[in-house]
Amino acid sequence: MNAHQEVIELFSPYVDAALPAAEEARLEAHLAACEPCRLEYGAFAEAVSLVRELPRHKLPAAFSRRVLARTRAERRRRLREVRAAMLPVPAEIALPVVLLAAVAAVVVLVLLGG
Amino acid sequence: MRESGGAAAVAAAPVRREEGEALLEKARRGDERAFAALLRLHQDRIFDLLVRMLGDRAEAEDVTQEVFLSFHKALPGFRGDAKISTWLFRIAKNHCLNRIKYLGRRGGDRHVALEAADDPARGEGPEPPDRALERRRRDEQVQAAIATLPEEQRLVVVLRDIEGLDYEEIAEVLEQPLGTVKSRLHRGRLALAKKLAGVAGENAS
Repeated sequence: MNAHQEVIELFSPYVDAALPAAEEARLEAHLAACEPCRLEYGAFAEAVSLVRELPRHKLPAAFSRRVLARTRAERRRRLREVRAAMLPVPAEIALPVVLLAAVAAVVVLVLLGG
Repeated sequence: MRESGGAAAVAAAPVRREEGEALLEKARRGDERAFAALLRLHQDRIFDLLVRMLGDRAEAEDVTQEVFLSFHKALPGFRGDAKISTWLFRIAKNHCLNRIKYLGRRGGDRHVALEAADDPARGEGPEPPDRALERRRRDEQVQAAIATLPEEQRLVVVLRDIEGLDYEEIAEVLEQPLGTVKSRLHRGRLALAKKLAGVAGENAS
């Protein structure tokens, strides 16, 4: 790698102010003395600032409402699954069975008591 | 108007890390309002990254939705060893690369012109129409140049120069060594410098 290529490798950390002081001084001394590298650095820094100046895109207001509707639906679905796992028999069958058992228990207690 | 200005101000304000962590903890426990707050805080940044990566607002909006649905699903298992934004950028990176692969297979031309971005940071009073047009044309040239970069370089350049992440954070998002990140960033910027040579001067004259 020749001196110019070595200097070009330092452009990125230099624009990010991430070069150690000694290397920064070496780069600046080279740029001051070498016109082709100075021009190249100019183009490099210009491209970086063009990218940095790009406008930011924002989402429409309806976006978060749409996502939240999806996550709420997903949460309800998961809750239903959890309930179904805890109660393997559908409620419309389980409920009469439980009631019948309760009535039977009362009847037995009354009979035993009597 | 006032309401949307307020929302923008909240989104733009740097949220203190503890506040973010408190929201995250609540959201992990299933608090939907905390999740909604996290969504509103981070959605535009993720969307902006995806617009720049995909070059298409509609695709980017769709992928942003996928990202937050994945985030919501994964919340209970999040161990909190990374910043929320790093975690979200990582999910976004995975979905984005999958979408690029899918679009490539489908063979669609996705380099459509982007509509003007709505950037309040640029709002220093109304811009004269010719200046606005000039700026718009320049932005399109820059976006077109970004679109020509290989995905890995594009991702690093966008994360660094548009989203403002530092090298270490980018390495965490990409799950790549620091040296790889630095080298991709440098290659990407060199390629952009070649493609954009004269763009600023050309538009200014």
